[in-house]
Amino acid sequence: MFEEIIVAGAGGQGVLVLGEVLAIAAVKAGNKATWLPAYGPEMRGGTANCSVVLSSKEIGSPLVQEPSLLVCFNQPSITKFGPATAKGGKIFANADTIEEYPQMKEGVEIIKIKVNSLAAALGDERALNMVMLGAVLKKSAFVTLESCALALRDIWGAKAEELLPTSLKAMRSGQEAVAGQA
Amino acid sequence: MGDFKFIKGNEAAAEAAIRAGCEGFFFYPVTPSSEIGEYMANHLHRTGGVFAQAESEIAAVNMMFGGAATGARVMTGTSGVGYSLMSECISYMAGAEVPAVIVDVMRAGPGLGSLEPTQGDYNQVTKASGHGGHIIPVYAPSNAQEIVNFVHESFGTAERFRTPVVVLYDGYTGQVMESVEFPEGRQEKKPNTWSLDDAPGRKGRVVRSGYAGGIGQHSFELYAKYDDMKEKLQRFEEYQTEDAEIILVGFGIVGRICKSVVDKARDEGLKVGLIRPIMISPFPAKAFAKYKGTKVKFLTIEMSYGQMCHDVALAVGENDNTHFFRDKCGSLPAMSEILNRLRQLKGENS
Amino acid sequence: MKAVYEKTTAFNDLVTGYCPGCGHGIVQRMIGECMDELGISDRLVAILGVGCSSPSWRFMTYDILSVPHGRPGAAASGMKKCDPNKIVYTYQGDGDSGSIGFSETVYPAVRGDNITSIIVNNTVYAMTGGQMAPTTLAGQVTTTSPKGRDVNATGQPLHLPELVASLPGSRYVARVSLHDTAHIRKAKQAIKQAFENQINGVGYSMVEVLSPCPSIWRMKPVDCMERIAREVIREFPLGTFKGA
Repeated sequence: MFEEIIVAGAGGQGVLVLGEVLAIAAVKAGNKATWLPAYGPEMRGGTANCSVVLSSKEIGSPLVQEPSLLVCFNQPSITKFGPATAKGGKIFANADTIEEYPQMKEGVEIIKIKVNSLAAALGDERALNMVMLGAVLKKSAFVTLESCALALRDIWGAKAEELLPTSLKAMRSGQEAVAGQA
Repeated sequence: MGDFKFIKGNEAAAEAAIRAGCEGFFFYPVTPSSEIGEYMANHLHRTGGVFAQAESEIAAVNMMFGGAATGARVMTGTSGVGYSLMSECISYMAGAEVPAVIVDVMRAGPGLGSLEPTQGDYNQVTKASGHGGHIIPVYAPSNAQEIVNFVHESFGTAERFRTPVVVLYDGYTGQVMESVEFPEGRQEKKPNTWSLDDAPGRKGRVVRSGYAGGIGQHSFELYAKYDDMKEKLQRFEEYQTEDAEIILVGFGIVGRICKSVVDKARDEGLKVGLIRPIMISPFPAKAFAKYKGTKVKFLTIEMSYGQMCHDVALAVGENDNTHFFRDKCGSLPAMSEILNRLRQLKGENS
Repeated sequence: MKAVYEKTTAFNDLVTGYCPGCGHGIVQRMIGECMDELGISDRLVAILGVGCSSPSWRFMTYDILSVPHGRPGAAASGMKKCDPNKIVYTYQGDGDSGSIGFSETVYPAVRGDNITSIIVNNTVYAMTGGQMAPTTLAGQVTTTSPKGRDVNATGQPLHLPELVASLPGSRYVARVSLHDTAHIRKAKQAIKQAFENQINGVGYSMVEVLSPCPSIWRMKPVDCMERIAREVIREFPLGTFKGA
């Protein structure tokens, strides 16, 4: 397995946590993983993104420049990273906020999902990143819902008991939403 | 078996120091090293160590000097801009032969610069940590696990050679979260005969670097120590070098990227290997000695105008076979660009 | 026979090397007497900056740490944090403390660290040959103020104790003088108070000592004492600015 992922969106959309869950879940399944946030001046101004590399072998560069998988929560993210996505790669796009799609490389598959609406329907708009995570799980075989739940327990510690049920519901909702898409 | 954590490089440095037995951490905030201080502020009390935020890097390093003089195991974390301010005291500590660990998380460019990954502090830490011509050991970890291993080890090295020791890495390596395993147990601490310890009734001791009456003998003792360090501390990793026609040289994060490049180049049938200096001071000249007079080409990759490449040229004998790839500042070297350069070098071969 | 005056155990048999008439020997002897009287020879550490007193480790018998110019305050804070059992004092000149080490000298008082700061003020940079110091008096001729210190260009003499006394973190701050026997006795009391404070955990203490420098002032030792009494005290008033 070798997967280069960029998760991008606005600050407060849970972008960094989503990347971290993918990385830890991959480690729990016996793989190597790196998680690198955009930091410093890039952090200011409300945009956030992180590079996640998952691999069954030792990882070279932790910085992703040509993602095989791109997760976008807002318009600026897809405008910036969409064209860089590798041939045959996958893009998960938040259809609630993204209207314009830039020119992509050949064979790039775009999976559209309204994560704001789906999270709101579950009664917790903050769970939009977990809805997106569910979609990623459904369409990619490299991590399971179970290992993601274990990863969330690590990240949240004592708060996991309280937060996990909503997150699992959100993940399942995301999985169902993209099940029909080719 | 040790304890696993998925953790940022900077936090790994702090946790490794706590577990190694760090007793005092002195600090002034500076990006991209601040997580080290924040982690220490929250966790160093666990083992009874003291944390202090100083009014400047100058004060932080001198606080560290004061603590180290008592024989306490001490550390500071900073970035190149702070390291510049600390250089004066690092020189005093090297002269007074006082152990300490300094983590330098490099910033990019001269002056205030920026935060992207860079390796511009190579010369500063290996050649110019202040005035007077001392040599101090410098570890160059390439990932979070090596940060853990080398921070742990550096306390032992500092005490064994009675010297400040630097652990040097770039901002990305400090920010990357990876899975690490912590070694069990503290770094062993042996009794010493120099520190201002609390042994009752002992004679007064002096910890100093000043030699108003002439420094000759002291210099010779220091030089003998540097010879000993050169003998014992040359550390490097060799990867696929046995049949290599071109050998990449890179330290830190560049080293790990180059390892992937070697794999890709081998897939294309290019006979490429890697020498990754693990300690950059003393420079691992041993790794290069056997290539003197051979046709093996060397391509040094650095995220700077070119600093370590001079040490490589010196070690291998500068000639048409030593090459340098200077990456543009502000990003990690792209594997594709290194591969192109390798193909070009291979072409020049035939 | 009863001994009425003895050498302090703080000194070995070497001569100090100070110029005849210098005040450093008096101050360091008083510190040594305090060490003997307070029974702290196993715990006492002097942290020396850079100045005429830097080589004084040669003739002292207790623990010494010699640090960069101006930085004893920071080193003392770090040492006391790592080993609270130590009785740590900084020993600096007015240039070391008030100029290059201004920040490192003031911050231990800002933090309220339980250390003792002894500052010897002779109004010049003596070790480097008599340049203008932050404490040089208005109009005083030095090698770098050849026409006399122009306070319009270089500012008024720095009063470190008064400044430190204004900080909530300081507990005891005094200025004393060496210009006659009565004042030397008072100086000893102040220095002893500063060490007792540290032993009792009271907190930060600073004592500034007005001290003669015959070599740089180009005066006979007795005339130096008169200069302190006549001129220097007028600029730097004696007294306890904080604490009892």
